[in-house]
Amino acid sequence: MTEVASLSLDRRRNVAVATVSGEIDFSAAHDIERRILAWTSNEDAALILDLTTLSYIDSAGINVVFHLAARLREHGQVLSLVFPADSPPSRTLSMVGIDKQVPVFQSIDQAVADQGSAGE
Amino acid sequence: MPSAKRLREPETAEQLGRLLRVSDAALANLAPEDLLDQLLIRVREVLEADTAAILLLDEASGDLVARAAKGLEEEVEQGVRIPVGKGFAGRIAADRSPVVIERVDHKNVFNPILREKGVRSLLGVPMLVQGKVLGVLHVGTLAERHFTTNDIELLQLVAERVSLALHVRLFERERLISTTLQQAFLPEALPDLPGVRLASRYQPASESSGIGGDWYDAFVLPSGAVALAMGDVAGHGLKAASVMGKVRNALRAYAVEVPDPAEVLARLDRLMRFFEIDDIVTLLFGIVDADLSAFRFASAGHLPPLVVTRTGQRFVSDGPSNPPLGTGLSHAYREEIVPLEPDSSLILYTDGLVERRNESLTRGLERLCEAASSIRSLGHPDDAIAALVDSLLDEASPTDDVAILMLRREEASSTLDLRVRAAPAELLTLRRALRRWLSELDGSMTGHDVILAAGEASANAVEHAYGPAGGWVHVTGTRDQQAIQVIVRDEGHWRARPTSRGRGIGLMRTAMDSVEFDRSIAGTSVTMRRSVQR
Repeated sequence: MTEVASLSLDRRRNVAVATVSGEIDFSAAHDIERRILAWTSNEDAALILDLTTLSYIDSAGINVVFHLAARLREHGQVLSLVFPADSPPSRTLSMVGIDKQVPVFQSIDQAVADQGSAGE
Repeated sequence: MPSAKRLREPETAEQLGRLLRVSDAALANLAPEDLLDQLLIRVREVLEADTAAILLLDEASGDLVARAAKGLEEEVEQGVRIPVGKGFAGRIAADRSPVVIERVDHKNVFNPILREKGVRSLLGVPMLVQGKVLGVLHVGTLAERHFTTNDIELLQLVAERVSLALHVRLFERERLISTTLQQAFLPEALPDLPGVRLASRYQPASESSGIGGDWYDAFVLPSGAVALAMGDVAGHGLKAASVMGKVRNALRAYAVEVPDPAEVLARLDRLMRFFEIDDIVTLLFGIVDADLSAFRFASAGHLPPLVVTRTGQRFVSDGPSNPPLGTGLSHAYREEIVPLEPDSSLILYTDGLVERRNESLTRGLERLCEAASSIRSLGHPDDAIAALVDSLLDEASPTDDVAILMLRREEASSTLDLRVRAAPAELLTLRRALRRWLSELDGSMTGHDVILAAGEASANAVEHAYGPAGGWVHVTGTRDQQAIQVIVRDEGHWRARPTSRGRGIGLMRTAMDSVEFDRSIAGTSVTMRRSVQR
């Protein structure tokens, strides 16, 4: 079976990190969202969604980002995105103006560092 | 039945004649095991023995294994194994000469069943074919018996006939099994992808030399890239076929997980060393990228791929020849890359295609290169392979197997015509086809945007057009230097449903210059245009 997207989940101190590789489309979006939500705990100050190795994202994937952001906001938690400026997701995400609604970083380290400074 | 007295010469000859007639008739119809059973019944009768048994040499273990017995059925049931050189049967096989034991005791007989049965005297002869030991045939009596020279000669004669018959039978059977295995290990069908055409040919060597260890493989990786393999296990027959199967399956497993040709070879090398597979295996493994722009490959001592373009043909491999698999030199495998232009072909092959008696390999490769110049005009790789085989294999019966695998990248098409099932998993198939169609725009904003918009329109059709019974999504495209047009069409009736699809339509409008919906009772079509530069 061909897996469109693959997900790896990690944690840096009190920050959950979800890295999605491959392609998020209508066939993969629901499962990705469900697994990321299950991984993120009440103890996490933030969730970093790392899209550095993502090669395609469509509107179903964008909906995942907005759903996650809304769910975290309801619980006083923060969603950050990581993707390079010239990447395919960057092109699609900029079409919907994502950077005006969710903080975007160039690397996971920068996103984690931002959480550290915000928490202090 | 003859009397208990020993037979006189003329009777023996008559009995032998009968025995051999029986064996000849049996040969034609019986499986090897039944043949042996029938023979032992006759042998026991003719020699007036109480027991008769055949042990065959198991080449893998080097032991004699009881395969048929009369009066000693336990031997076969218990799968008695006698090491060559040990005991009665072992000594016959080791010395390749008859052995007579008039009084059995634990010193001269290894097999406890013979002693338990109360066998008193034994006569055994080797079964030889072309000087090779195939097994041992022996008879025994419960009463003490003096076996005569005549008895020995008679049993030897029988052994000779049986060996020959059995040899032919086993050889035929092995050939049948290895042919079946070999065919099972070749791909049932080659990948059918837009933008490329694949063809292959496997031609076994002439009858006498048995099935060889050539194989090829072609399959689509999870990324949409096409994996190609061409390998050759040294040797022939069942053993070569079984090694081929192991390497072929391991290669598929590694290739799916690690799409890196040099690493796949390195892992195969380590795997073979670990499981002590000591056969020589040459292998060329490579990946045609999903956008078809290049072939990335690594070679383990295999002949270089040949690339045929509009303007010429050349072997692609600049580096030194790498070691075959199983040598433990896994660090030696290096990836090489050859760009694949539209309207060019890639040819992988085994040495059977280029090697001829009394000719250097260099000359053989030159001949292949010359022959390839004539296939440039042939559109389908099936025709090209036929032409190559015709011009290179003019000998009546090739002495080695020949395997050829050819991939042709087709001329970039100005049109696209696809139809996929309206299912979420097919969206990936559609994007891959679009990427190939737009391969030279892949990575550009234009390419990205057209694929995104077509993907959104297709996702709409998948989600809304059909009920549970499903249906089809049609994607057609046309392009010229200035603009690309894609039409996504379904034959369903959209249900009005509250969804977030609005965002998808917004993306389509942002990505394309124009988006037009046409809904009718025949279905929905979305026509989208986008200029290449904007």
